[in-house]
Amino acid sequence: MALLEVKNIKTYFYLDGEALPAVDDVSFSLEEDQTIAMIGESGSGKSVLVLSIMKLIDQPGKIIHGEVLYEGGVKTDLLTLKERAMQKIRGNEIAMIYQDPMSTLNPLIPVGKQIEEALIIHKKGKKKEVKEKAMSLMKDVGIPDAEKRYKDLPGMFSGGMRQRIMIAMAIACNPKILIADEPTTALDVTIQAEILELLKKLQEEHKMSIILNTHDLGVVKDMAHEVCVMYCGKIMEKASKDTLFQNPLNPYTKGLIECMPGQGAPKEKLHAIEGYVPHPSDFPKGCRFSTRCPYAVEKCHKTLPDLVEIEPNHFVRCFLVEEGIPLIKHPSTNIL
Amino acid sequence: MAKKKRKLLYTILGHVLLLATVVAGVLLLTGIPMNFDIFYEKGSYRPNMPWDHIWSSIKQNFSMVFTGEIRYVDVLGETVQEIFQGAAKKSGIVLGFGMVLAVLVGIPKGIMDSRKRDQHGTFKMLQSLIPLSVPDVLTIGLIQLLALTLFKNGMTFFGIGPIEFKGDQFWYSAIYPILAISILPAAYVARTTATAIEEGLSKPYALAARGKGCSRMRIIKNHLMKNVLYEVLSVFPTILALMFSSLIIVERLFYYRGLGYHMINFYTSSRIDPILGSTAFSYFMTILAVVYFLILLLFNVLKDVVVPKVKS
Repeated sequence: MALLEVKNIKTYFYLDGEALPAVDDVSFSLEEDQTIAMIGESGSGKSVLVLSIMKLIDQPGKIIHGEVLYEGGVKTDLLTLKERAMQKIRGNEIAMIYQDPMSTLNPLIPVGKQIEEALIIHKKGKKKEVKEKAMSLMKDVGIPDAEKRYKDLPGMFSGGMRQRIMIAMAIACNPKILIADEPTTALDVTIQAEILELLKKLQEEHKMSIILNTHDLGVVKDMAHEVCVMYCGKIMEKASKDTLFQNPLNPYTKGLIECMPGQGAPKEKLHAIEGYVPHPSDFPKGCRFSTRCPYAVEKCHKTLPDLVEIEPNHFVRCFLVEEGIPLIKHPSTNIL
Repeated sequence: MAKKKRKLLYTILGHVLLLATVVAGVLLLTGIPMNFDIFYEKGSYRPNMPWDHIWSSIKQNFSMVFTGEIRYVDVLGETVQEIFQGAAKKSGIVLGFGMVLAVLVGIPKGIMDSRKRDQHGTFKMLQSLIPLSVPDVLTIGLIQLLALTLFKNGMTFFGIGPIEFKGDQFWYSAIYPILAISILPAAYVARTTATAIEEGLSKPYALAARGKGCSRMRIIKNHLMKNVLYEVLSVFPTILALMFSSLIIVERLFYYRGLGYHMINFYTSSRIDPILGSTAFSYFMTILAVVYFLILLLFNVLKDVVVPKVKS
């Protein structure tokens, strides 16, 4: 049974009288104890998607359609909940860690107090218990001398340590779902591995499900069970991790995987997908990837393909794949 | 540390220099005899009295204020010192309570105004912007009009009974002057608070706090209040200047005999000798300037030294 089911969610930003689709008709489900990875370039809508799940979208953004069904005892559509009810879920049932631990911790509040806050809000014990729990969480995430460092301000910690504190804050109330929005992007490579290991360890200990936003396919290989490939607010391909890496079908997914180091021959130049993710106001009429796709045919530029189940639990959004047309690089492709 | 001490020293030195300049300027201007004039004669402009006379009057002004001699000068049966003591107490009440009221009203109003998404957001913001954009004399005049209406209709105010719209006989006579003097600063505090909150709410740590389950009020209280107080502290010198400048109008309009009232009276009353009047005015002005600069210095030192954590 799915712990979280996201159905046809649409989040638009209204700027200068124009509706910009940041997340456009996205559906997926998250099983218990599983990790689903959302991958895609910057601007593909991953962060807006997870903020929509948490109902943290502010104006000019608006969730205009969809359901986020959460199985927390009683099945609830989070999007229909009032702010007060949602506050009881945030941090308690569904918690989030963010990309930049430098700016997501309040620089003026001691880290211990910031960890305590979630426990206090969700009434997880008395003052003394809460303090002890916060210290124990600091130890769990690998902060040395937790008792001494409890009163330190975030500025006195390194980036990796701050991300550990963010993780301690997020797991404080033992949430069922942890949303990690590019948790390692702002960190050094050596620290990235430590943080990922920590997340894996905590997932096992706390039996959490994780939604992991990343553009690092190495992280996906390491952590995920299921993968959604996002581009311009749409899911382009959805499959299990093994299927996706062994048999990527969508040209965008293929491109992303080819971009991974170690895919080509040694000393060969790293592959790059040409062009840029278009601004939401410039999304193409047809397939969103058509302007950069080397295989695009006329139909791709005119009509938006549907997300179709090509094989069991393997969904792809591409006419060529759907119709079984071999992918041949088109010399006249209009690459932006 | 040495850098901080040096900065503090520069702050104090800067204020002392500024104060000395302002006091010298005031004494220089108020030392000019009140019947001084310049007229045009035979193709050139001339003063109506010899320059020596003007210069000696200015010197006397400086001397009387700095030696403290002015304190014992009799003006309409009371020494300047006695007038000052009575007036300072009255003005202190108006300024002190006015400031407290401005903060007590301004901060909650700012918190309400910061609700940008609220459908009445613009209307609420206008409530703070209007008092800031109209001349203070108009706001003070409106308060007096309100006081007049309440008094004429025998309406009670906080259960005190109809309060005279002018005068200073009773303790509650200070209510309207306090109200009048606090409106503009309250609007200023409200705007500053609202801006600081809006800015704070857009910070990633405010989003992270929401992600933890914090309500908007909790975020403001726990995460943004230090920043808000720092911003309010930063605008205090401006607020103080606004209050000092409004003091004269408020006291004059409400016939509330504080420092501002007497300063105008020294200059305008035909019963007071012009030279004595201008010297007494200089004395009042000098003390007001000293008090203002001392408070200004206190706030700037507070801002730079006591809250360096917030600043960094």
